[in-house]
Amino acid sequence: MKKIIGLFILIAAFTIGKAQTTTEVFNMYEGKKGYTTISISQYAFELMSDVLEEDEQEFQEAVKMIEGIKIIIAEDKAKVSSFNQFIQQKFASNSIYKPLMHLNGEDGEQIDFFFRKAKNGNIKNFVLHLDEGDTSMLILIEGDNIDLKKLKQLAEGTDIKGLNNLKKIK
Amino acid sequence: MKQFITFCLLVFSMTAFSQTGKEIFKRYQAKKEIKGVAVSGFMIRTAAKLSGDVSKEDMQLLKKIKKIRVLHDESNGTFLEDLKKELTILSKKEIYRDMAQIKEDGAVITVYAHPKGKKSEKGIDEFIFLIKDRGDQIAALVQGDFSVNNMKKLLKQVNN
Repeated sequence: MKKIIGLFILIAAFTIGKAQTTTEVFNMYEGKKGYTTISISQYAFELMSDVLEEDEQEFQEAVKMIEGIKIIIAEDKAKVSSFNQFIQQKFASNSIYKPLMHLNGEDGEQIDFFFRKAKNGNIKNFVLHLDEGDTSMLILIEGDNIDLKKLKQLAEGTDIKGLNNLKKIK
Repeated sequence: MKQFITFCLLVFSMTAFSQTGKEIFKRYQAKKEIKGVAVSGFMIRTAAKLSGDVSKEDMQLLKKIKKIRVLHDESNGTFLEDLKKELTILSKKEIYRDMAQIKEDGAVITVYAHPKGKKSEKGIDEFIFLIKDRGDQIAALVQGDFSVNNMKKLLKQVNN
């Protein structure tokens, strides 16, 4: 009996912890009613760069370290609160993800940054949550070795709503 | 006879590798259930001017368009799925490139791009938009000469 209970606990722990990567979180909301999801490929970023020639190499390095960017937007008031709750559980109250910083924006928006390290110490997942009250946006970045300093370069080189908050990383 | 077989194989291989957006769209347009329309860049700009509701910036973007081909299927067939499978294969070969996918209120928009010949040119000569909105299945091929700046404007509009 003890063995069965132990097995159940093991299976439950595995299932609960399953949606840990940013891609898995994105897949949970993709196509769900009340949510808009946007997936931008690495290639699109390569083309979108709007940086000075001297910064081009740095920007391309920043692009190469990510596998693309995924965005989930909840604009439906009924969904915003449950979405924020999910984000709180998934990232803020989770030992797998570490909070990087929290900001109170000028217009009352709340901005949170989280990251997840791989066993080798490299940052594999980076999460930006922008809560504007009536809208909640989650930006998910996945890569092999995300350099936080280079992430700022991504924001400098593109003009995507929400992503400009990456410039605030300290 | 051998020469004839070789010739047939050559023609077949050429057909199999005809992978421009125009050729792909023409192939699908030949199907009974699919309606197709092609509009020249000039027509698009004329229509935009007549509407009087286009900014200078948007008109600059429209000037880059040579032709738009649109395919539409209301028969609930697998046309869009088939086209997507084909583009996924071409994306793996880096002939077409995945750009973005947007899902909202049951509608799905997938964007592919065909890079210009030379890598150093850093531009796009074809965009393919696959739009599935409930029963409607639409594919649009936008041919032109798009620079990085044009694409940024386009993506910014999609993002906003």
